[in-house]
Amino acid sequence: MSDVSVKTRSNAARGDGMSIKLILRKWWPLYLMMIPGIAWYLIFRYGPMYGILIAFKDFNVFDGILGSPWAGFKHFEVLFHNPQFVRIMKNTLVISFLKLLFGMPPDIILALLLNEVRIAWFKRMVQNVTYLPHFLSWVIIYGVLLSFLAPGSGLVNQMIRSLGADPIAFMQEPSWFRTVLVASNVWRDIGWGAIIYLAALAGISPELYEAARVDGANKWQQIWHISLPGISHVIALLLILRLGQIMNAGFEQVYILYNARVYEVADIVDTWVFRNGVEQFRFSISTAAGVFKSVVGLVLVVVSNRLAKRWSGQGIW
Amino acid sequence: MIQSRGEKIFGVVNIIFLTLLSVATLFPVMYIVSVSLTPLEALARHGGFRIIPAEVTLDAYRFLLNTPLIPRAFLNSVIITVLGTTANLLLTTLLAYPLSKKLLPGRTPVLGAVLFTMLFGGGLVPTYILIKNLGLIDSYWSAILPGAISTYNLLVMKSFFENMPEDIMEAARIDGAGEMRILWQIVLPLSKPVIATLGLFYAVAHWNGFFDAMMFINDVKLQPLQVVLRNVLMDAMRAEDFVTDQVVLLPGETIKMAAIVVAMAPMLAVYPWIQKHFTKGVLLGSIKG
Amino acid sequence: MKRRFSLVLALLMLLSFMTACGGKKAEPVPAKAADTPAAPPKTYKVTMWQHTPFTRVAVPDKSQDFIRQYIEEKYGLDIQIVPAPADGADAKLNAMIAGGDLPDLIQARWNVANNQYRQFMEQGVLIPLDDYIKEFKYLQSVQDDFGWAHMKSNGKTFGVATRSGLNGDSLWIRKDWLERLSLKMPTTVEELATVAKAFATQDPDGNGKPDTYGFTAHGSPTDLVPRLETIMAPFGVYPGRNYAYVENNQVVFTAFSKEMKVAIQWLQDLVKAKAIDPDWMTNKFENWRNALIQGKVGIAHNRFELLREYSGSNTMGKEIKEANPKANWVQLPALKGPAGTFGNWAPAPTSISMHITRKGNDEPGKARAIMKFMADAMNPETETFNILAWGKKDVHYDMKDGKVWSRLPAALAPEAGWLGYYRVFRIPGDFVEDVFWRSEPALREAERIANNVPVLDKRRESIVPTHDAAPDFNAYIREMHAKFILGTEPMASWDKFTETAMTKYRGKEILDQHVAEFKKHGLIK
Repeated sequence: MSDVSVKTRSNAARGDGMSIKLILRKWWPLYLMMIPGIAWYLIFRYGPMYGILIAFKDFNVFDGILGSPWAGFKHFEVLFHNPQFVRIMKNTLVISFLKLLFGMPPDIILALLLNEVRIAWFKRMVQNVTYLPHFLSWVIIYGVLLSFLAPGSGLVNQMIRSLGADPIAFMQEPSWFRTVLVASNVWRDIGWGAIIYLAALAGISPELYEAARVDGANKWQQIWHISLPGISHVIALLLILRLGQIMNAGFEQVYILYNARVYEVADIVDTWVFRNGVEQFRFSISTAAGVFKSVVGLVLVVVSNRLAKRWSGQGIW
Repeated sequence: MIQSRGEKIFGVVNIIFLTLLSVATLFPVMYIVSVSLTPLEALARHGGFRIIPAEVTLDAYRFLLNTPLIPRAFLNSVIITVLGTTANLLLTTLLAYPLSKKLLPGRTPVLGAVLFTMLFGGGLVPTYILIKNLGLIDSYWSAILPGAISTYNLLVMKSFFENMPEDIMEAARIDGAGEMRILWQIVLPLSKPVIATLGLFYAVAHWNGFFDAMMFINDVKLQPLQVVLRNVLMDAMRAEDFVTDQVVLLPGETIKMAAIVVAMAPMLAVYPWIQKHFTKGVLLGSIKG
Repeated sequence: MKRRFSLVLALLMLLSFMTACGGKKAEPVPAKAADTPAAPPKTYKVTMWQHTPFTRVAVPDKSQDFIRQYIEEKYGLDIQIVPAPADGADAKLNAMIAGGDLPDLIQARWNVANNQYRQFMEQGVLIPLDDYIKEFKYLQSVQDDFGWAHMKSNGKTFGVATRSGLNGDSLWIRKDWLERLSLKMPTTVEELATVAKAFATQDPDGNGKPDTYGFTAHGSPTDLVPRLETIMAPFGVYPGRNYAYVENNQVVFTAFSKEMKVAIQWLQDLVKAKAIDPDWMTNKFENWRNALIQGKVGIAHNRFELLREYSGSNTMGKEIKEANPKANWVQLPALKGPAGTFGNWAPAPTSISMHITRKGNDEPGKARAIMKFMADAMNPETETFNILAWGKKDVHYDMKDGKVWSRLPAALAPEAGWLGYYRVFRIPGDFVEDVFWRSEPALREAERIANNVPVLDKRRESIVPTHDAAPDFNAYIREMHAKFILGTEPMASWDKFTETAMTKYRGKEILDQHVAEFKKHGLIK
């Protein structure tokens, strides 16, 4: 296939100047396939979308969402003008970013390491075991953390004391708390997060590895030149999606683990919204905060997608 | 395969590291299992962290299995998970495949619209109204349909489809095969790892799912496991806060942990079954063939 | 081309919006007129949403539910109980109401401070009950004026709330530890501090390990250190919380008062002496409970059933005996402190509340029938009360010399669970507990001791609706009090803390709101 013919084919395929009839005749099987999925999105995602309007209204239960009076940006102002706004934004972004920085690489590394294991039963056992903590709720994990890190009874502090040093209240010290948050999150999700990379690695042809070995490449070179590029599309996708979720720092975990002593480093947008919006039944505040988070996420997704396209030629869309 | 010395050392270190990691993640789970088997009195006595229980009792499990609601809730969860995951994979695959064709006219707007829903949503009240209007309250489908497609999973699957070599599909097209056949007979068999993975993600979401069922299913006979468990194990802290007259059965640690084990166990059984689809060289066979 | 597709897509989305919105508006339920006396007797189907049920076991089938049958026969009400889920009760109730699925009758724990209740009152979800309260006289005695004020909006009453009973909390101490260290029972907060320090430093359990403390607590997302109520009552303030008192015709916020400084300094002193369990703010309920059982602390705040030994419900007493048969927990009388001699705080003016929604009024006579039933259900002189509160005569309780002797909870497990659903109508209060514990003299005595201490009755903030700025204001107070207590913030910055709270966190607005509300209810002139 020459370059020219490819170009003309793709132009024609994109329908420049093509009529709808021709397009349908060419692509109809694919459009048919898409119908159930699109129908679902329309009904279950776009149908309820008008709920976003709650953020701009003073919601009255009997007037309904459409009938309630408009409130403009009033609720957004409550969010932006609250005395803690800077702090909760900072904490949200820092915690999310730390979780991304220290969360993604271990998942990838674990997948790569597991991929190198030759003993089938061992590989399966490790996979099965390491993904277990993902199923434990944060309430349970909190208990586990306390039994290790509590200043009085925690195992780690008992060890510290036996070495003659003063115990550290890891869960109460602002300087340690974020570390506990991030580390416990990594521990909980490393096995689970590795699964998707393992699936991607399974799709890389062993012929490539064989050829590399014949050429004299060692293990690191194989990983660097074959494994990683082979899963790069997944890495790029997940990175972009996680950036889109940067405003979600992990409400459930923070809410269960935090306490008044560490508000200054752990109070995030979601915990503020919970106190002021959810617990006070002020839905408009919760919705407005949600819209704000979504807008930030959208900007990040668009920007990072564009960057990904520039660097690797491929983005989400 | 002859391994160099460097490779051998790497292999050993790798195994040691993975073993340590396994222990670190297994430790708390073993603790939970241990507590679920220890009678309350023994727990009171030693209180601390004990991995191998001193005394063993199956009372907690017996209690859970004899509470009439729980076995039925277990069944409900199984039904929802099986039905749900099937629906999920069907819908997701049928949408992801066309979207993976870069030349498809209209692809970009559709992808944009889909991605938009990942960030923006209407919220609980409109969804409740929708489910009610569709007549799905108190039906298994109310726990399945609202989450039928996860945009995240959809994008992952699309990404995997995009990375499949185009030549196999071209060859089939030249031979006159239609897109549906290509999808079914060529693409899917080669996509076992991603389908298995997403199937796992969806199944776990259904199994652990609480919110949709709590919202939309009022009939106790239809409620899945997580909802029932949370009710049976009423939060002890809340119970202490108001003036109860203690006829309420406040569960001990033993029963709480047994409930966790019961809820987690099926997921452990599922994973090994998924793993056999992760075998390498799946692509190899098809190219040669 | 792309544009055309986008257009088509956008049109489709718009269509979805419309279809979804189309059927969504809740049909406004027409509020019917009051019943006509000549209407023939009929049975009304009533759903009762229990927002905070006492139990969550399976609601029994009608055929087994003798109470439901009784209510139907006597009042013409067929009540279907719907307990709220353990998690997400508020979200579910709100979604249901917004979606048009109203229950007829709601049991909750609401008063004017609760925004959800205020919204329901103001938006017409609930109906005013004043006429029925007038008609069924017993209901008027359920609350005093101050209590009724908590249920009103614009002068109309939207709910019937029972008073809180005394909660039966006591301060407990390990007598065996006191004896071992040759200490006397403390009678003042200073003596308590000395004992606490001794418990932490002098190895009262004699095991040679420094593993004991004076007392502990546990944390919570909305409260700094709950479970120290009986210890803090003699100080008249509670660290981490803000109460509003009326003193010299002024509103005083306890979070900033000099009494609070005294209390905080008292705690600081104990923290420095390591007399308090260092896990006290990170503990969850389970850890706090275990600390008592394991003998980690020698002083504890707990309900009078600490000693209760039989299983089936609160097994704490049993577990304590298992862990250490020699542990001897006894109750302390009220301690003397800077605010006086107080053993506990006065209970809140309202506890359980009952409300009728618009739907509960959609047929003539329905709301009236519900209120008639409610009036009887709350009145201990009626047969209805006995059935709801105690169960079936001669099966769940006996009448001996005109007094009720309850057989629960020792007896009859299958019903013991779901009977809890009907107990919500009864006023919690010591005379009722009296009946219940009548068959257990030791517990009866413990309860009598607990509920007969002098209580501090100065809190008045319950009548004030929650100000928009209140959550942030209270979070700041919790944060700063924690820092003061733990010593990471010097007491010298107390005034700065007060000023920041009142200005940056809008404490002044909240204070003004309190003043306005108190004036309205005649608490200040």
